[in-house]
Amino acid sequence: MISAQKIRILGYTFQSSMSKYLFVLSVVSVMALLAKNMVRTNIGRSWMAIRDMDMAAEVIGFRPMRTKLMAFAVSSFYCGVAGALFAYAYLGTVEPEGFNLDLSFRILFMVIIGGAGSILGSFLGAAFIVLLPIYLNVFINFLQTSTGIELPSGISSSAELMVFGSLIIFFLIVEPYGLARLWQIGKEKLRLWPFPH
Amino acid sequence: MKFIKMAFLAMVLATAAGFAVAQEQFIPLIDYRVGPYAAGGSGFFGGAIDYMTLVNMKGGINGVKLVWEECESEYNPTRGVECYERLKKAHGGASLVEPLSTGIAYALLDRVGQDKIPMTTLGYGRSDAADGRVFPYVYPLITSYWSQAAAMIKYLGEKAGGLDKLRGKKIVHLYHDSAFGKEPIPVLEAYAKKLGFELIKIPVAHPGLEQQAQWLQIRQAKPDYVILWGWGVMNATALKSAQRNGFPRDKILGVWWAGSEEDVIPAGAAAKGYTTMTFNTPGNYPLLDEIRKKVYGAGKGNLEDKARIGSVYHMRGVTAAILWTEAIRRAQEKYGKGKVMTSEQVRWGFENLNVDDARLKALGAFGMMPPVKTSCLDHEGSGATKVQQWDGTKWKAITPNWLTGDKAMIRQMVEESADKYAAEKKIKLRDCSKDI
Repeated sequence: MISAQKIRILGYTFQSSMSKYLFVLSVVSVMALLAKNMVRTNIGRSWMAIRDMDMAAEVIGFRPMRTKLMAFAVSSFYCGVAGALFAYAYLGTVEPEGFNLDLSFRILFMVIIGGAGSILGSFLGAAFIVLLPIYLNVFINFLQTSTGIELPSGISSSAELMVFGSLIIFFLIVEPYGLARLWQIGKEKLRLWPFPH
Repeated sequence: MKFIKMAFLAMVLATAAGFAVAQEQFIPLIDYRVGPYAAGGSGFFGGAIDYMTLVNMKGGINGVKLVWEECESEYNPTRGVECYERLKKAHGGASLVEPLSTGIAYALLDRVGQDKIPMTTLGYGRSDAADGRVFPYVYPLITSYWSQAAAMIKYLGEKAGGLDKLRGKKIVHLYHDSAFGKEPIPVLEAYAKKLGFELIKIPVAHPGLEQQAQWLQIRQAKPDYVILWGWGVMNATALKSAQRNGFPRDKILGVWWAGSEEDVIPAGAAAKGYTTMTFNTPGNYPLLDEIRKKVYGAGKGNLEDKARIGSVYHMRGVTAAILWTEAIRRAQEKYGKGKVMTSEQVRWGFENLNVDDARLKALGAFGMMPPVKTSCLDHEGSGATKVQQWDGTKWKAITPNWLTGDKAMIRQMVEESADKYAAEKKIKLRDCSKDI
């Protein structure tokens, strides 16, 4: 069990939730910009080529071993930074229960639901997996207080899981390429609106 | 028209006045009712809510009503921290917090110190938090894992006919491979060195549905006793594997999280004779009858299945709620009866808790839990446990008195560990001689 040390950079200690949030936000913005640009460079395009068809990519001159290793290394780097921020800025401890198998699955689902191969998708997916259950929880509580009907505690907890699960299924059926694709389609449609071809 | 207006105004005023007069002490409940540990969460928090409902029905704490809000954490530290942040300022501020999860408790450790909200960790969490000099806001009330491990050795020694008889014996520590399972190892090792028994440590990976290899190892080692430090589905599997390998169940001693109805019923006949630690004496008490009659009689009970009233987890929830309300009552004695206490004042209440046998008798819970008396130095307050045995249908206490291990040794280890933590985190130790 490791208890996280205080975050101290250049003599400034990040103690309040707000300062920690701003710290995480700045790291995330820098890293996201970096990623966005990386996708457009030689490296990014080689990844896309390998993803679409590794044989063809090899024929046009990308070394698959090197490209795959590179993709693995870069994504591990991002995950490592995320894990460190999660432990130090949010949890405050490093212990197995905070980093269980469930968390790995969550990260995988974020990518799948958000849309593989897009930077926006990872943000949308993360918001979906992390924030939606919380909003559902708040919403169910709000419904209970505003209508005055009090559900047994077990039922409201289960209702949250059920709604969340069915939303995942709904989105995967409606748009298998993820929320990022849905966002893109929406944007294109709105641009043409109200006079589609 | 005027009359209607006047009546309306009067009504508004009356409700506003009603709100102003209503005094409420807020307790956030970071609970879990879904997921793999829902059986524990629903029983524990159901018990706590039942007791708080009863307190409110009897007029609150000197007229101050309790109010609570639940937040589903799914036993997930991420969700737990979010629940805590959401609820800490609700209803005028949280008086205390109890997550019933080691992971969430660790994540909240720093936050409760910053927000000055006391956190109780009944029978789990950091054992060294019993040292109030380093952890002013954490209360591992009644007993911690280290006290429990010491009590286990004491019980096994008594069973063998004296602690010195443990020399040369073999004890297996079969544990859930996590911070929870590893917590007692320093204490067990210290005892093994002191008393001269052989300690064999065998980890089981989460969730523990497959234990053939481990029990084969146990069979080869031929131990005299097995300590089962398990959690969730691992416990029933261990009991079934023990039966299959012909290891007598009455020589298995479980941790208290391996000792509820939900752990043994799935194991069926394999669980008969199995013993575990507990900090509640199983049985029926006037308080439980009162809950049955007043709370469930009025249809306000929290459990859906009435048969679970008085089950191990339910009783633990009632115990927790008794300690919370007694701490608030104690704080009121100092800071003003019938007033809403701030979290700082409730913290004082926890630090000066004195729930003795006479008080427990008055509550109708005499014998249900050991008497608890805390101080600035000792946030645990008791350290006493009992051993219970499953007879196939219900738990039965098999030690008539409360057991405590070597308190001096545990205290020394607690202080050493807490000092190390304080040095690591650069915490200034509180001086208990003046800060009361």
